[in-house]
Amino acid sequence: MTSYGVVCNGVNYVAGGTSANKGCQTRYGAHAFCQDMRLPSCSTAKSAFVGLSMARPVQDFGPGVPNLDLKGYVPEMASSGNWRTCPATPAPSRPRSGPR
Amino acid sequence: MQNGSHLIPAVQGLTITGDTQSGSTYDLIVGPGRAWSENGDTGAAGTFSRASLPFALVDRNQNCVHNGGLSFPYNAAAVSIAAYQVTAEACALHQFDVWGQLAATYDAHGVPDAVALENAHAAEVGNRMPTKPLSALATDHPAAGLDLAAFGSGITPRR
Repeated sequence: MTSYGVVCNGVNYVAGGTSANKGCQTRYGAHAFCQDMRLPSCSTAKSAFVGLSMARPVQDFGPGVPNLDLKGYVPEMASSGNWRTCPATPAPSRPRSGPR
Repeated sequence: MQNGSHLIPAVQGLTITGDTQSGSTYDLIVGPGRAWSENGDTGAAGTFSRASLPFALVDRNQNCVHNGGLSFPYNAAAVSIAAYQVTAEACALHQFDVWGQLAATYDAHGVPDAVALENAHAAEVGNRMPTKPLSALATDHPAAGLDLAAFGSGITPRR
């Protein structure tokens, strides 16, 4: 794990972080530029995006939104036999290689 | 560009390399670094400063980023070879260490919009969220009854 921590009340609490640059672990010690180390969140971002994106239409249109068939709203899906029973929130699948 | 001891890449964020060499599947992110001088950097070839900055190799079409660092001595007229090392990544399935030295070229010149770049970097750094060690979470919130060991259970630098 390169870096982890908790954000609480506007403070970033970083594990292993006795100073700002000590919170990013590598196989050979702390990374020299922890605050500028680029850590794209990949599947974490996709998961958060999907959840938030679904929360808003549920807020606006009610709890039935996740069970609506997408083919009713996307013409290309309606014309394909592969999407006949795909609701807005199908069962989750495991990403091929998720972030850490 | 350089602002005091700070090295500020004019282009940050994901750079599409377009590299089509055999086996190459990486795009690039370069981050801000620092510059400093060491006594040993003065020799027959002149007086040099030392630069170090983080970079990341970004897999194309895959959820993985490989983090590393780059360092090289330089002065107003020349640059030495550049040493690089990749020692961490953001995925479980594609882990490797890479290190080595590469020839580098250096062309000192003015940077358009230099002041704007300096100000933008200073603003970005100045507006960062305050950082504390995780242990401070318990002392800042003593009534919460936190078990901090649970946050890092099973986590190692490798996993």
